[in-house]
Amino acid sequence: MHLPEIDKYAHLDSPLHRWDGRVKVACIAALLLAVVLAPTYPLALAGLALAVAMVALSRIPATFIFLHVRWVLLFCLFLLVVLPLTGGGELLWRLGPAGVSRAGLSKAGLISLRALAAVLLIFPMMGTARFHVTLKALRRLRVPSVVVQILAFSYRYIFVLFDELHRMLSAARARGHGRARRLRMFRNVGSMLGMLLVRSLNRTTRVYQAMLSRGFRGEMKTLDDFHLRPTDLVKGVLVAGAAVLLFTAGALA
Amino acid sequence: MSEIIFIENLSYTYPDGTEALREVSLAVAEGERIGLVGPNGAGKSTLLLHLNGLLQGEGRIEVCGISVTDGRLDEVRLKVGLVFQDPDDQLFMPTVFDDVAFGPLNMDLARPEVERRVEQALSEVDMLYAVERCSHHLSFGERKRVCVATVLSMSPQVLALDEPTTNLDPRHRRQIIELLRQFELTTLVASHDLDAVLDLCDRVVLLDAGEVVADGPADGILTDRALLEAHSLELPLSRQS
Ligand SMILES: Nc1ncnc2c1ncn2[C@@H]1O[C@H](COP(=O)(O)OP(=O)(O)O)[C@@H](O)[C@H]1O
Ligand SMILES: [Mg+2]
Repeated sequence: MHLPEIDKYAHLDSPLHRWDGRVKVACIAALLLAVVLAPTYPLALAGLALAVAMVALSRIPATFIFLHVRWVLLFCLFLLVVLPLTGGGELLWRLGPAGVSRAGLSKAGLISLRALAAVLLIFPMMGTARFHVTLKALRRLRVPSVVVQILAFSYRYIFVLFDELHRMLSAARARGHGRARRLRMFRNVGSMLGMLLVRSLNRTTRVYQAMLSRGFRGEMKTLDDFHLRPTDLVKGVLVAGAAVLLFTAGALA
Repeated sequence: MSEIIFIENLSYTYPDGTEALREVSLAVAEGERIGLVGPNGAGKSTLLLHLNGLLQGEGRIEVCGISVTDGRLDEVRLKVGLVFQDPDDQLFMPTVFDDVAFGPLNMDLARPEVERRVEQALSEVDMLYAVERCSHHLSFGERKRVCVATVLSMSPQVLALDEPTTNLDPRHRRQIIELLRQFELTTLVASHDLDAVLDLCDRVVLLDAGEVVADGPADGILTDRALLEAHSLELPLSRQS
């Protein structure tokens, strides 16, 4: 089964891959925030340009990016259709009973630009190191341990969960075929979800027992290999600087 | 006293009322390899969970002279390396390294020592090549071996394995049996793979419905067709003629 693996291209080599995870995550997160808050078209466009540049720099293949970004594009398309039709105010064109609102169109465009830029920035931020390294970086950045643990366990067990779901579906499929099968399957979806929930609960019990067995006392301990080098700081100053610039320009606009 | 595990009249009832263990008594000498056999639901897994106090029933249980009760669980858990049946329960960390390092880090060992232990444990199970991999990318047989490494890295006195050969193909099953044979640790193997038990263990404890129904040399119990069949088990293949 295909599963989204954000760190699929973590093995590549690029300035972003070589960048210390802590500085990288913090600085790109700042940039992401500035982009999301960009109040005008020129600033949103600048943000998008930065995002595209960083994605290009990361060497993550465009096809992979597109595969994940297409849902965001769909969302933008939806906005671009709905907001202009419901925006009100000055109308650009009339289409029968409805009209295309200038304010609505402009708002939809701006939101789309920001959303696209923000999503693109996720790739250089999370896709240029193994996910567990990124998690360790988050931990070092003082993100609460509970949050990091939830992320880590979700990432570990989503694969197991999908496997279990897949097995249950195959079993259901094997029990019948044709229309009758599909009907029965829908009727069984409820019970299958219930079963999945029970299994997950049992699993958490056993995982917790396995953790206790190996001396777990409530605190997650891991080793990491972060070393700050001058280049990490240079990159940090560049990206964080861009974020601050965008943000200040936005505040002044 | 050379007994490393001492269990006397241990009984356990699950919260839902299932009586999983009834008056189980068992003494294990240091270095012994014991097969815990019995049909499904006999109470094998439940018994293993008592060895490091994950479950606490009525009766007496001591490991390395330490009573397995609330005050001393931390100590006991260093002595008993418990390997769960499902590798997805045992391997909960993002990478193989983190999983094998989990125990040693909880023991508050210094970094170089943790790294040394991870490397040694993984080489003992021939999995050093996977140290940086994610466990969900490993095959089932590989994961089973990493599971063993996750407790070896804690240098336990007792190794307790739940169904180590279940769901393995013949080659990987063989591999894990050979691996376990090399260890000189006191070992408890809960299994209904009687051939594996016969290969591995000198002594067998037969459980059924939570009770010990036989306890003796492996080649005595595992060749007793009537006894095995009375408890829903079959002679090991190697003893069927
Ligand atoms: N978490 C649980 N809650 C209630 N009953 C359980 C639980 N786990 C096991 N049991 C029951 O306890 C008995 C012994 O189970 P178990 O120790 O898993 O047997 P074995 O490992 O020999 O197959 C069985 O009847 C089983 O159904
Ligand atoms: Mg069991």
